[in-house]
Amino acid sequence: MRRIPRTIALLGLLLAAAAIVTVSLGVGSEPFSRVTRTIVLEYRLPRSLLAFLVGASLAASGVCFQGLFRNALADPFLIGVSGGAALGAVSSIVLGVEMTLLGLGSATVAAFAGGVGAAFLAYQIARVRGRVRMEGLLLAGSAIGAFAGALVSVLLLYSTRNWNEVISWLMGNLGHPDPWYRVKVVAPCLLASASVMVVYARELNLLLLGEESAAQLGVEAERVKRVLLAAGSVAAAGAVATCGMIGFVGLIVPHVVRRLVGPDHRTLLPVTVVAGGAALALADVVSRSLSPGSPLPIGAVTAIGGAPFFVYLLRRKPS
Amino acid sequence: MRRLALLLLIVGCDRPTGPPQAGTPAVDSRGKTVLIPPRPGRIVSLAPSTTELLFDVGAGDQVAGVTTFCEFPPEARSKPKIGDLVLDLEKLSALRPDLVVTAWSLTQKTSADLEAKGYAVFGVDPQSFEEIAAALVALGDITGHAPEGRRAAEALMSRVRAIGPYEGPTFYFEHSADPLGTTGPETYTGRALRLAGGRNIFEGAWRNAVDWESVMARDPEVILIAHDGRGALERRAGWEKLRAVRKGRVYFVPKEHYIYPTPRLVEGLEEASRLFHEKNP
Repeated sequence: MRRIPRTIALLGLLLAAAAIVTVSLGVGSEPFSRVTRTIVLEYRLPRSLLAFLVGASLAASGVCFQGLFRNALADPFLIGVSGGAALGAVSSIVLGVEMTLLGLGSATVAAFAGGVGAAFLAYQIARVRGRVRMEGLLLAGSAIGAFAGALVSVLLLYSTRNWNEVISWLMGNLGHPDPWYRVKVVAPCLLASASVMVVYARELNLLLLGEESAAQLGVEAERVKRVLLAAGSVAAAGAVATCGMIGFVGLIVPHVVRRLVGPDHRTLLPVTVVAGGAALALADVVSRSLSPGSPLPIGAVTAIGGAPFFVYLLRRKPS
Repeated sequence: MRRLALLLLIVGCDRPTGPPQAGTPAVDSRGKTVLIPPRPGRIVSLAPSTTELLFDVGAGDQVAGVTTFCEFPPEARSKPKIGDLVLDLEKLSALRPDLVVTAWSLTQKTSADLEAKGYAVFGVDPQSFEEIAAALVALGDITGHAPEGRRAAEALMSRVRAIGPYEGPTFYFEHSADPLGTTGPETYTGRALRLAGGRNIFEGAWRNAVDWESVMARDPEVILIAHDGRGALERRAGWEKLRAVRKGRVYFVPKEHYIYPTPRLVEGLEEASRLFHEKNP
């Protein structure tokens, strides 16, 4: 475990690099003009912050679900959050609902509600006589995801007018002209859910031993599961509602960090949150510098860059 | 026996369902010679622009089927629908069309399939006012409305010619808010806006999807918003600092004046010309 401080230092360095590169890309060495100043302060800074928060939310949700389900393939979208959010967003786009709630647009609100709603529904379905079996929850989640996905296709069939908007949402998009607005949505979701997860890190560790053993050690398994499922779903829904479906970060980053700092959630959770944020902020820089002017879809960058790196980590001999 | 029945069914489906080709040869925008039946009376149109052009030359009554996108002129809405981007081939063949008219570049694959089935497919693909006028003439000719086609083309071009040369402000044209969508100068929309006297901030580069940052960096003098997402404009990064916003030169324009290669584009031309000429308040 002596590697932990080193890993954290490395992560800090990575984060600093990401921050500097993102903000200064293409600015040049001449003194700041008024326009450059506006671009850097009012667009690039919040955009990088947004990328960081979204990456952090997805990674937090991923590490939480992987621990809870004791399943290496668990990701933020496991229990129907993405399908529910897609259904919410697409129906509000297609039906042309125009309203605001707490200053938020209807598509954002509908996506968030759909995501959290789907997870809640899966939880209710999987609950039998006060107990939730994790396999049941997993299956209920995929059923809801498939059902919502099918409804999305049907809705799209009846409204071809908003395909662009829907496709951009499904591919994941960080390039909104109003990054501060989105930061205001993601930040509270992340703050609330990550705090809950960190508070429950010890319980999450004990749950890894199995629910019976955890119960013998004084863990109220059902309550802890409920709280952590809610936290993971809120984190995922916040990210998805603002920037669409960005894949891979929530699945891979927890695995990478687990290999570096070990499985103790008290360390794993906070490090994963920061690493997820740094990873997505860097991916955003890559997508913008590879194709300046009209950036590549962020989901493509995370998968193309992340998959080979992950394979390398898998094949590397444990030291 | 069942296998034989199935085979017959498959063979039956594969039989060319289109009418036998006979008629007057006409060259379409691809440079392909298409045999046009004498005065076609059951025309199917595969694009909103071609539907509109057919009505413009007075051939609306001869249109038998349109896509769900075809909403202009209003009479087009009551025509039978044959699909959207994906055609419902059963509905299409049930209309027994004697001519299919399409914007070739939008429907290359489908149109090629229909040709292979034996349908007469006439393509038009106007990319400028001259080509819109030429399309009106061509569609008038093949539908038996030659004088109307010529009159519509002449009316269009005289309005276009009335717009004088002008070296106006730089502008950013936005037809979609999420994702941000604009147009470069090499499209019919881009050409019309150039003709109106505007200088496109994305001149020299092909653009459709753009990054908000590159709009901020180019700081246009005029912004034309051609979509309904106007409510969210104020929360965009650096919005109040943009030159166009400070000078009150953000204009909301109807999308349909700009996005179709039809005579309606001249409405966009005249409107943009007027807006570009407006002095800074």
